[in-house]
Amino acid sequence: MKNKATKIGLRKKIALDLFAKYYQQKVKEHPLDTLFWECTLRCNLACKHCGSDCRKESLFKDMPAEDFLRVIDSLTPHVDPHKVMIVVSGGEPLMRKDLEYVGLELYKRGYPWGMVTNGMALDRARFDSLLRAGLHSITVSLDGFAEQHNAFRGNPQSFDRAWNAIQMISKEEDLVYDVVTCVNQHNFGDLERMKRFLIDGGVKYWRIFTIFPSGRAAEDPTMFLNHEQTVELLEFIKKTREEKEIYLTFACEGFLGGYEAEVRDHFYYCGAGVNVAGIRIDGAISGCTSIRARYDQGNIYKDDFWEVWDKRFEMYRNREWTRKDACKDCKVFKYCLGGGMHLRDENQNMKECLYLTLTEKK
Amino acid sequence: MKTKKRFLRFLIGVLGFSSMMVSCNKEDGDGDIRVMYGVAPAEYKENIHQIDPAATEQPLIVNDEEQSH
Ligand code: SF4
Ligand code: SF4
Repeated sequence: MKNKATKIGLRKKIALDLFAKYYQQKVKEHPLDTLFWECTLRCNLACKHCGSDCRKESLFKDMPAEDFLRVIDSLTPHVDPHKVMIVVSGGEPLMRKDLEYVGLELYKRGYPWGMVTNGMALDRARFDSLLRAGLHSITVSLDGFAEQHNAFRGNPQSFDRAWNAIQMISKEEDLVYDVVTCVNQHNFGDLERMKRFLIDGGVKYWRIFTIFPSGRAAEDPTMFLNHEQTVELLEFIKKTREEKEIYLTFACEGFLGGYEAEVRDHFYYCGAGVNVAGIRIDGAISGCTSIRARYDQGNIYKDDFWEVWDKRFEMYRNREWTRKDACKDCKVFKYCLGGGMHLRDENQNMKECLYLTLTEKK
Repeated sequence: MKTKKRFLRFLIGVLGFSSMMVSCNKEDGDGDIRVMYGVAPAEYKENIHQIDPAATEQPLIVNDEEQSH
């Protein structure tokens, strides 16, 4: 079906070609600027659409703080800490009582740090405590109005708690924040209303992503948007960006054809293994914690993190292996390079391609 | 290498995609990439929160009720 995605104008095409060259340079340099730490797999909710494999009581024990800080200390001589953002993810990071301890240690070492949370346990006292530990950035998930949000999250208080947390963080000067929404069949019809709600509530930064078949969400088809809805969603993001009442962006979910640079500030690229690394709960060194397949490159309990980052990551930095199946003859392969690594399964097959959904080639 | 990157970014900007040239909190930024479950990248700021070194000694508030069921 014809829509903006199917047609890339000449000017954009030239810019995309230049960007592809730019990306190659970046790959050569692979400047680490984002390091994820999957600090726990425990969670106080059990969300339907969760991409990770969290449980209230996880099979994996939380990684001891000292183990993670040892990695940080080994990394410090190789980077400018001010330019490496440490993202604490999970599970739910607030399940850890020593989060502030780790945060403060990161702060003392000069690293900006941030976290992703469902907001359940983020009350005023905990927030103040995190701020005192140097929290630089925070993302809170909000997946619609109370009814949907609570249903997704399986807890009747989750909306109120998340919204209270959002109200609190959005008033904090100097703190970088955003609200992140997973758009699916259930909340798709409420986007306009939700936008108003966020604007009226004083929220300035909003990020949207769509779900991909992973974790618990894989079994539920109502979590995915169809072709028409995906197009409509991108039109909604584009329009909202033009209105400039709230800064809205789309997460890095793959190449979007003609929508490139219209729903995000930048052209698509997958930063995993290029500028993004992740340390998983069991110590595995990976490209990005959104990747659930085991594309691990080493383990902090066996290897030197920097050695691994600098010398390995071949499959992340050379994506030729993705040139198979639908990607084999794809005419936008040079811009997309087979899509985000999180959209590949254990056998390196593609799970989802947004561009194909948009252009209805599947 | 840096010069080549800068030049490419300049050309991309000339084509009208100026946001690509703007560094988003990062000196060598190429737009602000926000990964799926990631957070908005933040620049390091000195003492923005006037950290109280005693912070970690205070009891940390965790909703134990949530943790326990
Ligand atoms: S088919 Fe492959 S290369 Fe083409 S847009 Fe989809 S993921 Fe990218
Ligand atoms: S793996 Fe996915 S979420 Fe991670 S950087 Fe790549 S595209 Fe983004």
